[in-house]
Amino acid sequence: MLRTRSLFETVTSAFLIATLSHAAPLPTSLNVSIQSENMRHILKWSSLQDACCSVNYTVRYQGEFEYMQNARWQDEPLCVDIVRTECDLTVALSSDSDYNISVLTRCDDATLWTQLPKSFNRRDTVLLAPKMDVRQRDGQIEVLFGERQNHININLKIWKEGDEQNASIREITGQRFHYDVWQEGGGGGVYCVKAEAVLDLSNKQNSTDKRCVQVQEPEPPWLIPVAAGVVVTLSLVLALILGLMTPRCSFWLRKFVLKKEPLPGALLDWTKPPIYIFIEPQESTHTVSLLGPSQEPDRTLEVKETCDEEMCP
Amino acid sequence: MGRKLHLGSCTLTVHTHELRHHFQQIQHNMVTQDNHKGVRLLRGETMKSLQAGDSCCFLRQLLRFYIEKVFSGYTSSQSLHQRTTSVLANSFLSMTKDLRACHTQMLCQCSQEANLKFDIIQETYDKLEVAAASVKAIGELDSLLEWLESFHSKDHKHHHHDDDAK
Repeated sequence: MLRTRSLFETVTSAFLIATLSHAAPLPTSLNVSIQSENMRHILKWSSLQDACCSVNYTVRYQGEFEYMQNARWQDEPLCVDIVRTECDLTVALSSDSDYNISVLTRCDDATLWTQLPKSFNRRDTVLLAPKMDVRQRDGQIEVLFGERQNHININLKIWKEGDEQNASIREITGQRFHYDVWQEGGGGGVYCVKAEAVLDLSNKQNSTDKRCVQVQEPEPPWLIPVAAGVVVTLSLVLALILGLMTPRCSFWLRKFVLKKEPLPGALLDWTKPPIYIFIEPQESTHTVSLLGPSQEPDRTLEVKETCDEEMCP
Repeated sequence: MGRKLHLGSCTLTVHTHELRHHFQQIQHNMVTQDNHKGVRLLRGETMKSLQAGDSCCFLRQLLRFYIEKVFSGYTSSQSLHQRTTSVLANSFLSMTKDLRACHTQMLCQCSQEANLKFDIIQETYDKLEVAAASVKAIGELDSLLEWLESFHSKDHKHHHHDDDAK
């Protein structure tokens, strides 16, 4: 009996300990921090999920303007009563003002107010080296950049290996940049590029490592027209030669290809009798003899004889 | 990107593209909510006719007017609009800080004529009810931004210098 009672007490106390340890006391503050890289500002804080049955967070900020107005706080519209533990404040903090930022936590019936230890200014953003991809194609160097952010300018330095002192520097405006080695007056060889990000708010800078690519000697611009001209000329000459040779060749070819078979002996002395087709006329006809001038009889003699007959009856 | 504006002898860096981007988020709403379309606070020709030497002080007065009266008097049930006006108000506040440096160096003095022009704007504003007046003034920010952008181009810069020489 004592044993059973002792077991019951042990189980009960274990259950109580487990329950109480789950409902941990509310901490006095959250671990709030802001991660700002390349002008993108994300506020992050530790979760109170384990300490509360229901928890939500609201992010508030206070620029110098709000501070002037009785130090009022402005809610970030996209981070009101949220359950996730981060909030994008990029738009809200997009002025050069200093900002105080805080997180209001509602944990069951309790409310916890935690402020970012230091005020934030977007000039404090960490500037990363640009993300870039370098390719070589047909005498061109193609450089692709990642997503561009406001206030971050990119300058690209290009040089032929061993000639860095004559590097050319271009300001990049889009996400894709082409450098035509031929147009820039360079020959084939190894070219290197290096991109530098510059934050226009504070003149912070960060550069990539140099990236080099082998660029083959580009085809000169006159090569294609000249090659096409040569091909056309050769074709014309070939056509002309063929045209001249064709009559002779055709005779020779016919003689060679169409070989004449000898006639069989039985047909050699055989003469084909003419075939006359006589068609009986269906209408009555008169036969007319046509005589040539040489066949015509002497009409003067005939006339004379006729006259003689008339004169001398 | 920040642009250097030469306002008389004072040089100021302003992110006009960014300001315009924010303003465009609320422009349509402000213009449609404006119930006093017949009234005009900011006139482009008023600002363009200013002497180059007056541009710094006129801008300073306008920015302070927007911070202290317009944005402070603006209330909206739309939290996204509140966020945008907060950004604009804080940006204007940062610009006034830079102009303050010029002012202390006596590079931002107003003529009597410029003061009179500014007084007319303020009087017109004060005649309207606070909420309606703030909506109207925010909707007219387009004119202020256009005026600021005019200081970017060299032609305008020369034009303002020419005015100064008169």
